[in-house]
Amino acid sequence: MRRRSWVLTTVATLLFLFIYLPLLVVVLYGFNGGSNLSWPPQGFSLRWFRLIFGEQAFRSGLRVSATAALATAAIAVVIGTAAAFAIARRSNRLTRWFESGSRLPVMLPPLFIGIALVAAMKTFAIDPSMLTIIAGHVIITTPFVILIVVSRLRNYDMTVEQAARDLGATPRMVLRRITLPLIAPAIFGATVIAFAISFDEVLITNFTSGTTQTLPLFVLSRLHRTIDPSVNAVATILLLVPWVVVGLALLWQRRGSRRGAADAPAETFTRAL
Amino acid sequence: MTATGAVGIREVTKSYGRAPALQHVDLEIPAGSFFSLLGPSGCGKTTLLKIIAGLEAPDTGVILADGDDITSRPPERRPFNMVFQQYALFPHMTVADNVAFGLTTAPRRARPSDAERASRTAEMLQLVGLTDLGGRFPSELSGGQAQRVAVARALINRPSVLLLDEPLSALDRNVRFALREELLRIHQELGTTFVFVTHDQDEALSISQLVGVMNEGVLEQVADPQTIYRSPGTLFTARFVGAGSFFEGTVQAVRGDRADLEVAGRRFSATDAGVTEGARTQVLLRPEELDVASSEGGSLIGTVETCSFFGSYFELLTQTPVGPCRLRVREPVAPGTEIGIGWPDQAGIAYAADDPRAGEDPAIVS
Repeated sequence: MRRRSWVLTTVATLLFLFIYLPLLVVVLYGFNGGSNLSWPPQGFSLRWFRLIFGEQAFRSGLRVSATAALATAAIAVVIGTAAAFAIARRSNRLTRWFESGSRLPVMLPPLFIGIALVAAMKTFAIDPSMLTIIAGHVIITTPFVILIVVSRLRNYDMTVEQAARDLGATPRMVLRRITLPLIAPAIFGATVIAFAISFDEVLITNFTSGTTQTLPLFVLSRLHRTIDPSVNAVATILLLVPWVVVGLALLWQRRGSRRGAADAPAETFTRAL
Repeated sequence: MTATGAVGIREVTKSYGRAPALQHVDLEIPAGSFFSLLGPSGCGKTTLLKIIAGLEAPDTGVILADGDDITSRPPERRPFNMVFQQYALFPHMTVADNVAFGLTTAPRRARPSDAERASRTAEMLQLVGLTDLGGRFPSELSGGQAQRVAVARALINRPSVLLLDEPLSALDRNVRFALREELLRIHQELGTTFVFVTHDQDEALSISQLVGVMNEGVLEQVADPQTIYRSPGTLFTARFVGAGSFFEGTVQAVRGDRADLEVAGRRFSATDAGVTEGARTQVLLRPEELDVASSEGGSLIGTVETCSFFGSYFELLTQTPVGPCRLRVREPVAPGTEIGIGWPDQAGIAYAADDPRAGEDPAIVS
């Protein structure tokens, strides 16, 4: 028994190091004082962050990515939540078919989606722009929103809605005062996930962006030219932005969990990520 | 208190797909009464309650509230409120907000002022004995407290009828008994009509003024608890309500409302509940009608199978040539003992033995 748990601990530790050590090294070199990537890092400095923030291409890339991610999250959450209501509340052949169909983008190779989007843009003579970037991101993030909101709608007690109706609430009041507050954590979680997926999406964006450069695309193009710790600095930012957003979301949900509304915030995130 | 709160149900039918849930139900619930709908699970009692509440629509038939046809009115426009089996409290609101919810749903002009809302909420919390818990969330309540909140929430709009869907079934025994008495007190205090759905016959008999027994979507009998217990109208009701033994026998003659029977060689006269001469009968004898005679003097010889202790009495389950028999005695009897079982010459109720709606004999099942 003791022996087995010792083996397990070692394997788990090694696996943990294998996954997280590279991340740590990347972040560490972002704060490197020296100018190359040789071990060990030479002192602590913010010079690479300063350098990168001084570059116009980086700042515009960050702005593009943030804008695209915010717009994507907003659009995907509205479409996805509406679709989730139809799927969870009306069970007929159409909605069942639609539910399976809505999962498809998750399973399709992003490359395939990218090529399809390029073909579609050619056919309809649509020029690549911020709008096409957002359209591509909405396609891949909406299924996650649907998945999360549908599972929340399916596993809560419908009789609270009947109770509200019975107490005089019209269907609109029920939606506004009962249903939406109860599924708000799921909707919020779905928004955060859509944001995070969109923020560092690179494959599909590559096909739909044209001359507009998102932050991940900026990193790729920069890697072609130079490899210095500034890339690590960008990578650190790419890592931190979604983490901070998800972390804030978890904190917000923990605060709300006393009310029993957020019954499984952590579960929602792990399932989707 | 004016006499409002009468509910009329006329020819109500409802089916889910092919399965009929309610078949031609006719029922008058008098204003101010404590009415129970009693039946096994799946008998249609909750469906009927939801139809009264407006949460389900009947296929055919009419629902009346004090004589007004309300069949097509949505639930928010009926003067009824409901208490659900699993409480159905709003988890994201405090106890006080839950209770006050019904006051906040009226159109803006008709909505009570904040001060009135607060005082009526406090009044309701006091009615159910939860004055100090207004600030809690439902997840911080025990089952009994949660159901009290649900009762307060349902009563705040002063409904003419309070609908209760198995409100005590999810609770522990002690809490259930306490809350049962509390419901009775609230009913006496407010005079509101209570329509109480339950599968627990003790619950129905102990607190109701009127009981409607349901079976397979049909109302078998509507009567006060004593009548239901003493003169069950059908074999199903006889088996479902109260303890009793059913002996198989033959009908010798029917005279007026009496039937002369022969059971295990003994002839006696029972109340006729739909038997025909010469046919087989199931005759109900309540435990208090049966007594233990010496093994020679009794009408029937039974072998004691089990002897269970119930505090004030022991219940014997015995096997006799005409079926299992339950009787109550003061002193324990060892299993295996043969005893004589006797009953008066004018006892029992005789039912037709081939009633297909009666279901299984509970004495055999248990």
